[in-house]
Amino acid sequence: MSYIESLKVIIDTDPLTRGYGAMANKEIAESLNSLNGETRNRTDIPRGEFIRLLDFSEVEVKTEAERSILNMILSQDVIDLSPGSVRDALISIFAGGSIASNVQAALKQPISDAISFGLKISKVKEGHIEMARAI
Amino acid sequence: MATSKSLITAENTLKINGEAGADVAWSVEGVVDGAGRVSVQQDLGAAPRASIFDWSCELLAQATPTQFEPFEIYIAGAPEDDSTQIDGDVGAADAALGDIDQLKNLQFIGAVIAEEADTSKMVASGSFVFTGRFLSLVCLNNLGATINATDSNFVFKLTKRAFQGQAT
Repeated sequence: MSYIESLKVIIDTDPLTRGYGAMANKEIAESLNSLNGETRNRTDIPRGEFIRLLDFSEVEVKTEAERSILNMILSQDVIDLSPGSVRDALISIFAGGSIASNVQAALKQPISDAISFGLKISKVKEGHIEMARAI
Repeated sequence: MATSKSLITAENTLKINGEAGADVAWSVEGVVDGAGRVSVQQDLGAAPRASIFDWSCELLAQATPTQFEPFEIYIAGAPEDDSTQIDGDVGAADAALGDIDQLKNLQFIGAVIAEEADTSKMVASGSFVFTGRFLSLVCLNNLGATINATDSNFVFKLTKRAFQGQAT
């Protein structure tokens, strides 16, 4: 099934009941591209972005084993989060501290309906909806 | 002294757009962002015929385009003995492109880039080689804005170039 055909199925079935039937093409595209409040796990995070989250006074009081794991993880320019163990370790090390919620949030990314539906395109455009509706 | 001689002498320029007087119909005016358009299929005639082409494309966007985003231009050919066997199965009429995936079987010849994020005129040109007989133009508007709604504000010119040889 092509991307446009996938779009047609989404528009016709409206699985999240957005009301596509009453929307203009451009409105549907904007709806699909808008962040919908859902998140998904990130597959990586740049080291610099993660370091900016840190409260170093909190890092100093971590156990030697925790700091060792942290050093190992931060040795990567881009931290690979695909192994669940890396994600779990980062969350565990900072659990209960002042940046716990920031760390958890940084390891996730907000997503749009288009991503939720698994559409393989970075941005849905008005013309794509026009094509889908013309099928 | 020998004089230059064209092996194919019939050089001419076709105006291809949505105007009533166009040589080939291609109604790109009003094509929205993300959509495409297919031209009427051109019969370039029985061999010998030109196979080198120059193109120039001038357009306006209806609203502010996204800077550096492209208006993409492709060609779709069909074999000498069957004008209906068209690349991407895009059709032979001046019509909307049905699916962006059809572009995967077309030949990309160039793009007009939104050099500025404003509605000023954008122009680009290039050359391509096409040895077939039947030729269609296909565009995909990825400018981030609709193409201007006035047909004369989109003009595509295609010039058939002669092979130049040296007479003996």
